Amino acid sequence: MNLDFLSAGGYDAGMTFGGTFEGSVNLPLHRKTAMRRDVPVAVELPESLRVPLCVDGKRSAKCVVAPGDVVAAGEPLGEFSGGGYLVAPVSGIVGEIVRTEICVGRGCFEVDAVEMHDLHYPTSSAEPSPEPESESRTSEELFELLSRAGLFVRGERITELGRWMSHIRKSKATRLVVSLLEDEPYASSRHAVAAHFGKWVALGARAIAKACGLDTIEILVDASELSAYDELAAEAGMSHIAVEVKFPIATKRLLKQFAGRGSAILDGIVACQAGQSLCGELTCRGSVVTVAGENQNSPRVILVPDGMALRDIVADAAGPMIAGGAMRGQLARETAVTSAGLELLLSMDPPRNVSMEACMSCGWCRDHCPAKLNVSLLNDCFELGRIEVAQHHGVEQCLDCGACSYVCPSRLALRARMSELIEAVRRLRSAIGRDEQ
Amino acid sequence: MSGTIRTLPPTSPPGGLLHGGERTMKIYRAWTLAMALPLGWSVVVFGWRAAWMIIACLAGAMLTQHVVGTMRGRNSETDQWRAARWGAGMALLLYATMPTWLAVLLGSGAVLAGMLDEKYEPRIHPAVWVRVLFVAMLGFGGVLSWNAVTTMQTRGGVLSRDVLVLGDVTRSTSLEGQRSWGDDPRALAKVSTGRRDPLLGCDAVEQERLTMTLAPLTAAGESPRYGAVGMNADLETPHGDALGQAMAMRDIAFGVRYGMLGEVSAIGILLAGLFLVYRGYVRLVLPVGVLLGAALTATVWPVQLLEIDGATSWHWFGAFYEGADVGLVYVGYHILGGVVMMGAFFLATEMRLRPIMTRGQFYYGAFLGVMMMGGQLLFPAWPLAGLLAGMSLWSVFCAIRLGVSQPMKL
Ligand code: SF4
Ligand code: SF4
Repeated sequence: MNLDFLSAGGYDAGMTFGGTFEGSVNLPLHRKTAMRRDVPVAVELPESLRVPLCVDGKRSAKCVVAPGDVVAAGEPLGEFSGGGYLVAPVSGIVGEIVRTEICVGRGCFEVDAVEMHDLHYPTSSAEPSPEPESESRTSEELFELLSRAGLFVRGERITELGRWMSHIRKSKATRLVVSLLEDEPYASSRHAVAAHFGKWVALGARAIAKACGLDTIEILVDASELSAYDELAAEAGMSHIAVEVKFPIATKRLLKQFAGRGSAILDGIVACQAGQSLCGELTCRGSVVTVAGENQNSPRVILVPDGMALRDIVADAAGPMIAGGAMRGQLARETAVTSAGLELLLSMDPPRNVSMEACMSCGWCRDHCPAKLNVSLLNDCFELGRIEVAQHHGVEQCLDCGACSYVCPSRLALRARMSELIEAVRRLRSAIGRDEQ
Repeated sequence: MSGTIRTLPPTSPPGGLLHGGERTMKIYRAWTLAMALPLGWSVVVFGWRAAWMIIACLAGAMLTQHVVGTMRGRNSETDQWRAARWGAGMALLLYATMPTWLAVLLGSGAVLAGMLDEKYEPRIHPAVWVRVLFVAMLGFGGVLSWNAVTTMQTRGGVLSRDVLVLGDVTRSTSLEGQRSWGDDPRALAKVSTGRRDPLLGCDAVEQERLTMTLAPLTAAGESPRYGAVGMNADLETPHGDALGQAMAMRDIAFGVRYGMLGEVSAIGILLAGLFLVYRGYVRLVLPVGVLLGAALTATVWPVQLLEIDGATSWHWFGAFYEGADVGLVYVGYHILGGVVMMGAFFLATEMRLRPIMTRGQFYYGAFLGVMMMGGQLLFPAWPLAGLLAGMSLWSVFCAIRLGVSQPMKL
């Protein structure tokens, strides 16, 4: 079977595949760039925001405000068809519905956005209330409150927190695992949140666990950074899973491997935002973004309201911007705005004059593959269009962690190739299924 | 930190993503440098002639890369280092007595063969057949340098490639007129021209001296009655008069024996090989597999025994025939000397051919070890035969196993 993508001939450089930088950037192993910086509460607000009504490039919320409305931070701007709200990131006055661009995963999308003016943050204290009333609320009350908080869980898809909690309630999960592992090189958002806002992370995690009916909470942390989580550690009743090995991309599938069966995995940032939201302490609805990269002189972690132009966030850096990270990100236009999907903004030059070379069979991809796949052979399968052989050698076990791409000395975009192969295997299987019917 | 800490076992090698910053060119460069150690050693042992062969082979490889690479639009620094690695790798297999043009041809051929290792899928992939051709080419080289090969059979290499001699070592005497390092091997071939034993191919004096080489390695403290010796161990160290003091092992370790440029010193090969292991370019399991396979083969392979009275007899499990002291030394000689060490660390580890998975590498290594030792014992004149045949067979096997005529990696 020959694959369409083989004839596409788009594999000469790391850049060409969906805009990712895989296998082409010499990535730093640790996220040291922004690690030790203080987390500012929020950035200086611009004159206006274009709050996207869509967070994943697919589903759009229906606008529920009209031009001239005055909205407070956290009040709904839009409503999704299945429930779930999209809320105002900060307080301000609603303007027109405009078009704007967001960058999520492998694509940039033009979507509808609500323009907001006269922006200001709500007042907030730096600490959570000593006795948040959420502790005494029932699980149903918490579920309702959290569902309306306008928070999103980012996994393989971006989902509203309410929808995610409903799913967990129906699943067989018995414990909540709060992930504080970074999921891309350079990223340090989760680390910063855990180190600075540990109490809110714990509070949010407890509330979400209660709302979902889960009795145990575990925290998934990087073993080398344990000492940074003192505040979080002070919270009783939580155990920690210290992960000793860091992978370039901490995908959901990889986290599941770490967390084990029966776990509901929740992003630590969402837990923190949920905790803040329950106490009325959430400064703004938006993303915790790591701003870093080779052209960025002052790498930092910042809290960015949704709808802020990328240009304003990296105003002090020169050169192109990569939204979404070095492994999975893409070149972004400066006019694009932040949405719930964005966590990492890099200012770095895209790779130039870097081309993939032939596999030299060094075997490092296999050495570092957590699924112990023969990635080199699978790469041969990709190049030769041998889908059945790839299926036989377990390509579908790939966890999408990116370790193979990261170590490959020939700069092959192996992770992307594995994803393509998995897609091809699924297509082949469904084609066979159709033929048999 | 309070709470229960459950540390997950690493799911990847310790140290995490060790190789994040490595690039192909660096790897080829490190391989070439690693090969420079045994090659440099051969220059010390064989002199200018060895240096000339290495230069010729490298020049052939680099020139071919330059011309063909420029024509194909692929002559980057990485390509040049790849060619250097091919050239150096081929130089390991040369004899100092080969004609220069053959060295150039082989260096050039190695680069051209390497260029064929690209992914495309005709029904008969050239890369598979090139490997078969490669075996033939080396055989052709052997024929062309027959002088060297025959010299090898009677003088070069290590203890008993094909014959285990039992002799009364108390009768041995040390040999006068030791030759020093760096002599022209062709001159050496003419030294002992006395009446040759039809089986051993050496004269009586050499035979006695060779018998002596094992003496210190048998029972400690007293002169052993028997020694298992080879019919070779030719080039002596400058300490030639110390033949009775563990000379043979020193010869093997430091490279005072005749053979291919890459096999002069077991220690040289080991150091270079361990450097590759340290850098992560070679997994230890592969050379260990080769050595185990070779040791096992040497242990069970029959030996022909020559008694003092001239009678001969064959015995299975040669390594055990005269007891553990003799047997261990016999196997040790086979492992440390000859092509086995070089094969284990430099040839079997050839990246384009070796399997990727750990288990696959062990099986591949053990298979090559058996083939290599079999070749060494059957064709002492051409010790690489087994190894190269093994590598070619593996290529063909992988191609069939995976349903493509392509040297894919199991
Ligand atoms: S194939 Fe690559 S991306 Fe997939 S699990 Fe293995 S190392 Fe990770
Ligand atoms: S890491 Fe890259 S070059 Fe090495 S075996 Fe894997 S695919 Fe080939």
